[in-house]
Amino acid sequence: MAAQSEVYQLFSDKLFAVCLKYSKNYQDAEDTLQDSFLTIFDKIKQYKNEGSFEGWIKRITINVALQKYRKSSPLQLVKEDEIEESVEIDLEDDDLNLDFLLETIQQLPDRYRLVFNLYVLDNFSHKEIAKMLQIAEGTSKSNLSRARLILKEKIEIHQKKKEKA
Amino acid sequence: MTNKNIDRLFQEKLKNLDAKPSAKVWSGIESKLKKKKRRVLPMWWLGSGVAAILILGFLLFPFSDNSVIDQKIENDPIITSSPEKNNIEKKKNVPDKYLEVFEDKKITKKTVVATKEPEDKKLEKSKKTLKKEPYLISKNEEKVVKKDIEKHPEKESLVSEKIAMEKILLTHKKTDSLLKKEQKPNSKKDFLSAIENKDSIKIKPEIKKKWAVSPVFAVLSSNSFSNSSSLDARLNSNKKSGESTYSYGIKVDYKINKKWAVQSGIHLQEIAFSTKNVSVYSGSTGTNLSNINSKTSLFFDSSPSSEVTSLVSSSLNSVNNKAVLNQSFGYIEIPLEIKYNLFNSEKINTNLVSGFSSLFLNKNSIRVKYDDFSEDIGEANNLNSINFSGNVGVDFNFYFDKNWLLNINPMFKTQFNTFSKNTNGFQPYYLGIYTGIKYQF
Repeated sequence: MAAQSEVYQLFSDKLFAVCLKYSKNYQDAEDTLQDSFLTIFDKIKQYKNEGSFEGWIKRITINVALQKYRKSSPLQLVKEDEIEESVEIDLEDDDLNLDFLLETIQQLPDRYRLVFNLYVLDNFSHKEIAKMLQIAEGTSKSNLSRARLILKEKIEIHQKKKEKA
Repeated sequence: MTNKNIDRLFQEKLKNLDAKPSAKVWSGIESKLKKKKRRVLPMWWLGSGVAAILILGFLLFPFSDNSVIDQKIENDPIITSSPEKNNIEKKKNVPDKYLEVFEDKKITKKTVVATKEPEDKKLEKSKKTLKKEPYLISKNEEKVVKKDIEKHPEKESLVSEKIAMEKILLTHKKTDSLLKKEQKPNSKKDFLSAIENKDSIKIKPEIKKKWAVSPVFAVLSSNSFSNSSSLDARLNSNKKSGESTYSYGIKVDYKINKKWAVQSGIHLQEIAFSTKNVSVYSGSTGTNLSNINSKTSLFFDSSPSSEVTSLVSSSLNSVNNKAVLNQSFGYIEIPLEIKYNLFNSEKINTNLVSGFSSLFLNKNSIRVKYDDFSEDIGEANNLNSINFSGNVGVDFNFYFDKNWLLNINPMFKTQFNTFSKNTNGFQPYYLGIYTGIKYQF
């Protein structure tokens, strides 16, 4: 138990951040974190010393999060030609609140959030994402595009509010 | 006002995010881990309980087969020596910092020994973990070095991270080895079968199978210790012989321990004697044989001689003087015998048998035979309805398989109180070879 506790102390902050980004709210993130650590302690014998331990436990955490949301898919259909490769945004100032950014991600529809996280923040390719989420590669691309547009919109609204205030 | 790619914005802000979860997350994990451990514990106790009972059993029975204990002693050094050796080896090429961890490991192995898992498996497992260990360390050291180069201070935390990781790997292996039993249903079976294979080859029938039942059949050869006649002293000089008869029934064995067993059962048994060269007369008056309740008008004497006339009245007509009197009596036999194991191998098992039987008379007849004529002439009036016999013999069992045996049991039985009166010194005994197919359970 002492050993597990030490591992928890060392890695919980990092993994909780991952959970927050992949989950839709704080409560879900905590649940995901708890499930992730239980999985880690259960499967620790399978850790082959290949690659970093941190990378391994992060991957487990992501998988636990994916399992939670994989099944729910947004209802919107996105046409291929709507896909934009990159989205630029005009920023009033650089110090956007971290909590706000996190919140905008959390508020994305489940699959948009997962795709955005996997592609943008954790550097998985569309091919890998398609496999992980059991969707088509094109779907992954369009989900990402939609996610970017939603995020942009939210940030712009936020900035406008800030201007008024 | 800057124009920025939205991906870059989130990457910069969120990539190295750290967040502190609330305390309830850990308490939730802790309680679930504890629950898991609690589930493991009874299995552990069960295993050691079985081991303790086995060891106690071996100690309590002084008759026990030494081969089992020998085997155990042979195996023990292998178990204890190998971890020690490996430990020393490791101490050589591992920094002192990690010794503490290995101490843990040693203890882990000891507890595994205590649970009495199948030894082979255990050894294999410990070998595996030992092989892994140095590899793990070197990898981690590399990692520490790499990280040191890449990142700045945190060295201390990295070292402690590594130690913590090892500890958790080790403790996990420990719980894992205990968990294995639970996870794999057949590993438990393995455990049982391993015990059976190892311990039961030689002592299998004694320990595992306490009961045995066999239908038995025997050919009995009856005889008497004297040449006298139980029918009448007048026939003492006649030629007599015991007849071959039979016995059949069911035998039940119960093993008390490796060496001693009790057997009982129920048998129907018949013994017969014949008296030859008897003279037969017919008539209305005569002196009957003293121990027969006759129901015919036939009279008997030892042989045609000058004395005949003095013994039987002149009104009798001689019918035959080469007649044979057949006396047979049958019993329901309930034996109570003890068996002492003399010799035991995989194929055969030999016991000395001794005991007594209670005999309940259920058949009593005397027939006369001459030429082609045969007649029931009555019954003996001096037979006790309850009789006892003393039995000794040897018992051979040939194994067909674990449960089935061929049982051959030559017995010598002598009766103590066959007759209530006028025995003329006649005391029957018989030799019988009892044969049966025995089923052990």
